[in-house]
Amino acid sequence: VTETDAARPPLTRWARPVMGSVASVLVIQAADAGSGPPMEDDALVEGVFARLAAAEADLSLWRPDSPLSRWRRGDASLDAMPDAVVQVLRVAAEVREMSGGFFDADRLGGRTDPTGVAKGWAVEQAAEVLRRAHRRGIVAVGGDLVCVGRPPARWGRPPTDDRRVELWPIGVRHPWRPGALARVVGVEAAIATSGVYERGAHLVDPYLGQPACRAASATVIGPRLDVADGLATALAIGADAVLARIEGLAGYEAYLVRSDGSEAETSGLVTLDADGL
Amino acid sequence: VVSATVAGFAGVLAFRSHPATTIDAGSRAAGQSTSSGRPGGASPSSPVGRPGSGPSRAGRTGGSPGASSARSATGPLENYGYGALSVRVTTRGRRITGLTVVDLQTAEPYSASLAAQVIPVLAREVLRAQGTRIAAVSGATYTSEAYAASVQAALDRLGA
Repeated sequence: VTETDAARPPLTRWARPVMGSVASVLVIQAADAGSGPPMEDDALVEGVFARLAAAEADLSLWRPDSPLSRWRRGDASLDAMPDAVVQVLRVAAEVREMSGGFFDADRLGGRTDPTGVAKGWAVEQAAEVLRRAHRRGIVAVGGDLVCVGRPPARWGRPPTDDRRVELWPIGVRHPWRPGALARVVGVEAAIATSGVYERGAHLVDPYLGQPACRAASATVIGPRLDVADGLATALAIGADAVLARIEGLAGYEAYLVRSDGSEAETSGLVTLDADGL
Repeated sequence: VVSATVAGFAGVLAFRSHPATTIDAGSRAAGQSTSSGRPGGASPSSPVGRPGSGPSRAGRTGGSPGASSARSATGPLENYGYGALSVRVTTRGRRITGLTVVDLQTAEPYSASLAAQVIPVLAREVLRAQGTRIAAVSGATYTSEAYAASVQAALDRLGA
């Protein structure tokens, strides 16, 4: 073990454009990997990207010929849909319930649009490839990410705090200070952030039927990215009302930056310092 | 084989595609620590990655031919919906030492001013990410993704 190995976790990142965004995969190298990533890691990561591509093919609303697009137009029945579409619609219904109606796939934009959970679902599927290979790492698309396994020791808390050892230090992008982080939070599995960022309100309040955003940045952390993704969308629209609901959901935590810059969070949210400690 | 070191900010600022291009991330090198403040002050505006400083990356930098000479490549124009940009990347050994937007096209002035505001920060993000302990960043933006894609493409060219 060289000094360098002791000082930082040996890991490798891959990135590729996918789903109108950038997907990235981070893999912690196996202990005996030597100075570079083993070739089999490339095959593993190819598998991760392949799962993302497969999900995109089924779920893309940008592609008019995708199964989901065809179903939305009424060109095909649900029976004819691939498993991905059926599952995503089921999760969308689940999240609508969990969010008290603030995530409403049936009313967003007037037609069924479960894209609020589709990206999260796709990343979750892709992360399964790492999980099955018993590898640790992160799969992310456009800043929504799934962490697999325990983080490298250098990123964990000192061993006095058992819980935080298991958490990955993830920065939450600041809503209006480009490049800055609003906070660094501890994540065990999944985190999704929805926000206004560069472009103003783009989310539709299902109750008002018009664009509305009471939050500048809405982050949800939890065991499943598809659910977290949908809840983050709901939190961005409903702000404090949805935060209160998430407080009552087992396993899920939320962090909200309101439009006026004030912040709120659920009681179980773990905040780390800027160094990931 | 060029392998640039880029860490942190995985969501939008993580690079690698060819097997030959190892982008290796990680915490800052030992002994180089200076905390950049509290959360909320966790902005990447503190010292940009210092090329060549700090302990060498054992077993990587040393053995790599031409590791100390600077090389550059330009990524293609990446469209991000409100415009397009192209980034020129300079590496020295395994580190990215310079980032320049060589082409920026926007349809309207608002997008241009937005990009002008965002781009310098993205460059700082990439450079500083070489020494961060954040595993990844949640929340992405249009501009940041186009920027990341162009940087990635430039790195691919350097690795080719």
